[in-house]
Amino acid sequence: MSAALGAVAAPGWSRAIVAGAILAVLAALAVAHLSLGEPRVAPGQLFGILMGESGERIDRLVVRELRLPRLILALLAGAALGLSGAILQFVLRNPLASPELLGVSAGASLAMAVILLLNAPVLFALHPIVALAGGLGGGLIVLAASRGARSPVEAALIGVAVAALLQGAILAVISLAAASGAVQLFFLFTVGNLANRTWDHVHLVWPWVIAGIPAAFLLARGANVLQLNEDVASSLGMQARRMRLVFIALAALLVGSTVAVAGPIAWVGLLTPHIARLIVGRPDARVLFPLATAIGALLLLASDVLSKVVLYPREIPVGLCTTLLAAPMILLLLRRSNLGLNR
Amino acid sequence: MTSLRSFAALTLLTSAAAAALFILHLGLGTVWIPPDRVLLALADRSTNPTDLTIVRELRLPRAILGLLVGCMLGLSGALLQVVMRNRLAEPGLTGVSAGGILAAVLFLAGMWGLPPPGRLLPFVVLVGALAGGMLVLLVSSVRGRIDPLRLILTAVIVNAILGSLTSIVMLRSQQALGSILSWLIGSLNGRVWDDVWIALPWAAVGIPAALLSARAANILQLGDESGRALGLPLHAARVALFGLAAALAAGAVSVAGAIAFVGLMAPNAARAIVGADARRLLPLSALIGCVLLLAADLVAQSLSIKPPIPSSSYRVGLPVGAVLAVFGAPLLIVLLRRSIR
Repeated sequence: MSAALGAVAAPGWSRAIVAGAILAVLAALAVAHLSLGEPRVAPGQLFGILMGESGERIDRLVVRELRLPRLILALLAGAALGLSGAILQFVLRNPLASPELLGVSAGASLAMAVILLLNAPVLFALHPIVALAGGLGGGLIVLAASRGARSPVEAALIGVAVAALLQGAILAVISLAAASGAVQLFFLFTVGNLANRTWDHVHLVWPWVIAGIPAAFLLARGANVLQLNEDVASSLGMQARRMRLVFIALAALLVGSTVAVAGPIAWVGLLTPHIARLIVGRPDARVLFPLATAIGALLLLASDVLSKVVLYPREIPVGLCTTLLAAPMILLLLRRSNLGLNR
Repeated sequence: MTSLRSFAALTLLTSAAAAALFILHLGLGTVWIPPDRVLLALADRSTNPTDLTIVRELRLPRAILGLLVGCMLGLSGALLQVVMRNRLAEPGLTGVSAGGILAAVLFLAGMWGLPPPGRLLPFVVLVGALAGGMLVLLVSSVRGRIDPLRLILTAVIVNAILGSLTSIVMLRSQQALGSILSWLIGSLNGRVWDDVWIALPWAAVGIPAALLSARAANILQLGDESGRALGLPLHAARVALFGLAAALAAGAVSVAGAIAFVGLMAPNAARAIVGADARRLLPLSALIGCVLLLAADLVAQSLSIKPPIPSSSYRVGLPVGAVLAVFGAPLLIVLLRRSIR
């Protein structure tokens, strides 16, 4: 008890404790993620398999060529989603702002469905750009449609309506153009999926995510200014508006690269910043952004582990697990603290 | 408020539109059958045996289901809007459809070890629908008060959870895409006479019951004070109408899955035309529901026959729920914007 109080009193220590706890949980989840599935690999063997040539050939293949890239993708996508949620909630000053409630995920997913199912001649390397364009399109429609909305809930519901429209379009594309194997497409383009990903997918997204995350951290001070009340922000005029657009584009980039490889994974982006805020208390982007990045990665990795065990030995799409894990927590927060909507 | 005569004209007009769409619907398919031959086949006077088979055996069940489901969803939405005092309420946005579908899928997957369903299915769906609706009401009420917009937000999140559970149950029992789309998005593709017999009793009882409940609905719309003064047991009336709305939705969902937005669009359109008086609002909502669903299914069907996208051999066909989402979502935005101003 006194140790906990001391930790609160000394911010350096409490930060170290939080960081240590997150890293420990991440490490445990990573071990579970690499060892679970068919065939099961004992955690003790993992280190040897990852480092050298020990272990059975099939185990080496499964761990190094299938599970490791999927683990890295889960971390990258979770980090990107968590950070983009934090950015959107911060700069739009709406605790419900998130990729899934702003039409960003659905727009990116529609763009991907169109190019993949209509066999559009788009280079694999450009997929994140296509998803980014779709995500920006969806997001801007929502922002335009909800202009002047008086409450965050109204703005969020307008986002829900636009997302429903975009999803209708996705379903039209899938049902009219998909060959067999359409179940996987349905889950990929409407709920998100991490199964059967390879190193190619990792190489496709990491540059965007690795560039986007530090960029957001460096701009965090600017985000704090946007969080100030409207008078101060508007006295900064054009600069504030430009800053807001930069942040929205950054969030769309992070979401777009995620959707390009994993589909529109829902609720991680909405929930993560709230958990981060519960931990740090005060809204400072310089602390909130890194924390949301870490918690997003943790949440998606946990969901992916869950997706391997729910119907073991069969796997289910990870988007179903993020919903089952995060959506009830969102409802709980909505009831208990109103998600900070009454501030 | 419109006069009685113009209301009668309006009703006639909407019915005529529904009838015309019904005939068109029967004609549309891989083989186009013109309206005159459809009518002959319907009257059993056709000399062409292929026409008889196609119209009466293959297409009639789907068209009848379009009428029944549209009607039931329109009424269900209208009743839910009265009971919840929320212009955005409808089976798809209150947890009613999603709860019903989870129950249906659990039942069909044999998770409770029960015999195969058939006519029993709507009862199971009704239980799930009531549970889903109650869950959303419970979760969204804060100290006995329910904010209208928060109700819908809560329903969206609860729908996502129930939908994920539904998907997991279906993945567990290895369902094909067609049936997943049917349940989660709502579709009339490939419906047969057996499906009509499942929905018909619910429509035959539910629709007249809903139309007869107009007086109670009107009193509920007046608010608690005046309602109590008029001597209606308000709580009982509210529970009864909620149950009726859930039963109508259950009949529709059992055969067509979670078709959203009809229950939102039809009552709001009707309200914009005839106002809030339930004696006119309810019948018109039912008729507009029929028109909307038949029209949307016509769009879905014609796109599925001649897909605008060059496609492969195997397709599942466009679900009508996807068409309705594309047309219904903009209306939801308009309604939200109006509540903003």
